[in-house]
Amino acid sequence: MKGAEGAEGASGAEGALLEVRGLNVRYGGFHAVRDVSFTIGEGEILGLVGESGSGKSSVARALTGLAPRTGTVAGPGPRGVQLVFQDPYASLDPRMRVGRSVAEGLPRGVGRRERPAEVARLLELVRLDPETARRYPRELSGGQRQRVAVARALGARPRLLIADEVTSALDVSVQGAILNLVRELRAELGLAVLFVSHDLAVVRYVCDRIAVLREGRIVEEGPVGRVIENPADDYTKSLLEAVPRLRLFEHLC
Amino acid sequence: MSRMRTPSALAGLLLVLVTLVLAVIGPWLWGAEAERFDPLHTLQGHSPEHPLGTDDGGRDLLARTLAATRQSVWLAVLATLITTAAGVPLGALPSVLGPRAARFTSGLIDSLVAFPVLLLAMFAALLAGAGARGAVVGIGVAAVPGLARLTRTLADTVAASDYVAAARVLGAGRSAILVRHVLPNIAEPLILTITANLGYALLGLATLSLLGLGVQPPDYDWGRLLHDTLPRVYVDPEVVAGPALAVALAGTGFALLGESLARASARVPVAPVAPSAPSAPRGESRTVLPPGCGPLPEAPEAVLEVRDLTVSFGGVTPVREVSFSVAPGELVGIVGESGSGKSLTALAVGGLVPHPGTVAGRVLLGGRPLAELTRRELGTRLAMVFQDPMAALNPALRVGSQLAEVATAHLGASRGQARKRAVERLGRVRLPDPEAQARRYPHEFSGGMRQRAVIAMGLMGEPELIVADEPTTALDVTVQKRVLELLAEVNETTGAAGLLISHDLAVVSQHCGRVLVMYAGRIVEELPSSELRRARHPYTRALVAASPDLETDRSRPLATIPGRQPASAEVPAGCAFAPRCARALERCRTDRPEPVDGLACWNPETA
Repeated sequence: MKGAEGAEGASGAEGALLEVRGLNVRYGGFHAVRDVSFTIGEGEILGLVGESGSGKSSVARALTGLAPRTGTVAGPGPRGVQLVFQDPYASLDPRMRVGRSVAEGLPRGVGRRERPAEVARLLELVRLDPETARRYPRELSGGQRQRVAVARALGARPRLLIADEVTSALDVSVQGAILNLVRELRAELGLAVLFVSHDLAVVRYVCDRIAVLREGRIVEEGPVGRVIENPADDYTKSLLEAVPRLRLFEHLC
Repeated sequence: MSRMRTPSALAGLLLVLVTLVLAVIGPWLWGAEAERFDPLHTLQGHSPEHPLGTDDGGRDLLARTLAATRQSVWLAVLATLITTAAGVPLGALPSVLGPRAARFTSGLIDSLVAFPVLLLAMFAALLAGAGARGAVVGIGVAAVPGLARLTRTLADTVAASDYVAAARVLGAGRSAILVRHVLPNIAEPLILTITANLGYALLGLATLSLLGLGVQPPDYDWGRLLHDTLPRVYVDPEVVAGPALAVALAGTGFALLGESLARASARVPVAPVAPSAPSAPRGESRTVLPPGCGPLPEAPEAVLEVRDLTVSFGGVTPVREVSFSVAPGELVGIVGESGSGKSLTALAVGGLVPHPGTVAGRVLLGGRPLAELTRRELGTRLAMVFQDPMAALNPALRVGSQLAEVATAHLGASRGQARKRAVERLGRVRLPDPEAQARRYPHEFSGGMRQRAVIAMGLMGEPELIVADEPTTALDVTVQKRVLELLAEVNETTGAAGLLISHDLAVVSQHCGRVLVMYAGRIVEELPSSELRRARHPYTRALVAASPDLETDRSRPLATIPGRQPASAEVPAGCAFAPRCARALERCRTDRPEPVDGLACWNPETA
């Protein structure tokens, strides 16, 4: 765990916000993540792709202190790395109004009087009506809840956002809006994102670089265009081939 | 609170209210009467002045019973307070402490639960001293382990939730999490349990007083009254009736109320029941044939023929007038977002709509109405594949035996024949070494293998129709592709008709020839899957545009659909998609478009 809270740039590469070296996660006898190393630059979106059991969610949880880890992680301190969960129906306390949930992420320095304004600002940042603060999660749709979860994470002023399968519990019509939001937040706030997903089409759309995880190891890593168009690893190739596509008999349109 | 309108809940509520009122007013109204000595009328039975007789001091037993309510309830409240004050903190402790101390506390709770309750109660009572005080402490302490364990279990569930994980990532401490998240979320079930505990404490204390171990004279509670009158039960039975009935009714009241509250809060509402306008009168006045009458435009060769299928739950109608047909060897897809009614349509086709749903319209399998088919016929002519293969397989039985059972139960095959058939079918779904797979248990299979086994199970008969509802949603993409290819291949080779329900347009388009698009309970468009990019319905178009694929333009924002699909209770009068549709006309909001040539739209896309 040494260096987990080290200042950025202490041992990182040029411009790297987060540098992970030799990350391992073990749950009892199960070795979920094996010697994983990667870096994320300032304002960069790195996609972490893999199937179930590949260890991608374990990486996300280990980087936020929710799973036991060994290895070197140099980057922003604990509050500087925030996590958004897969299931927006489970990640919001059903008994808290949205405003209170979002306020949970605010730094202690924000006084009681400034909180409502700050909550409103965060809700607007994720394109929600500030009035939403007075509602309960059950009154919101899945997409709106996921925006609330993002707003709560942003309240901690993170420099890196870890998005763990944030759209897989959502409908297609809502998914697009959340993906757009992730890209807009990067553009507006210079936020770096570790985007964890099993969906290659989604990852390709959102990310700058991709790391492919299989059985706890990174088998391939590179810029999105190169990995998608010219995969070097056989496993990456088989993943790409399996992506379902709309069938087109005639290419008239 | 409408869920509380059950007879037992109302009875409990009534009994508790009466008890509480008596506890307040009892001593005021009857206290003097209950204490009044009357040496001339001791140990009497029923008489007009003393309906329940008198005790050895000539005091009226009815008045004493009513006046004793306060003492009885008060002691039970004290005992329950002790239980709560010790049990809840003890149970909540593990979620506040560090891992090692938490394990120790958990172990302590477990060993207390294993300790005999009576011994614990007696030990505590001895320490607290004789009389009412000892009884209250004993009864209170006896219930501590149970409440502590319940609290711990509830707290553990909340502590494992994502929102607590989120709070931890945001830097919240253990005690902040306990106060902010854990306690508010477990308060409700705890309060219910404590209410029920009140009843048990009341009974326990009465028992102790009856044995002479509780309240001592000159004080009296119901148990003490029983203790004093019990020796006379064979001479004047009515003298026992007052305190005995009081204990029974009050104890039952608290227990009933607590348990009804617990049941009411545990029950998840089946479907959202929102106040909505009665279904659009405008739509009704159109010339729509009521289901089941009029000439049916039946395609005789269709395996599955669905006409005006409507499924409702109470006042809510999640599937509305759905009509389609599937030919032999054809695989038809149904696409829609969650809440569109696609899964319920699949269930209705399989005759599996859960209670209390009602199904109207016609479902013909091989030309015969579904309702006319026997269970055995359904079991062999229709195969259903669901999202979770583990739910379809019995974890305690070997895969081969489960498959064979279909043949022995539905086809009357011998055990040997059935077994041979099972191995053959497992081979047909491309499981390597089917002989060995048949001897394994479901948990030894991977997710993809399980789903193959379920498909093989469906193939044990000679199904004419295979309905697959999100069969690969729980599977990885590489496995998904192979399972769907298998499904399509089975359709083609056996000539069975197939219905594939999915939320994923690309999945459906890849494997199905024809696609039905559902929105808010209706089919809005039916089209060849190769035409999806040129769909005419604005909703289908928007869905296609919103689904990213490996060719999506990354330089532009993804297309999105504003708003949300209406819940089935709030579907508007006109086209259900109109409020979200960029092409909506005035007419769309008031007049619902009927499907014509596979399209239900007043203003379809043209290019």
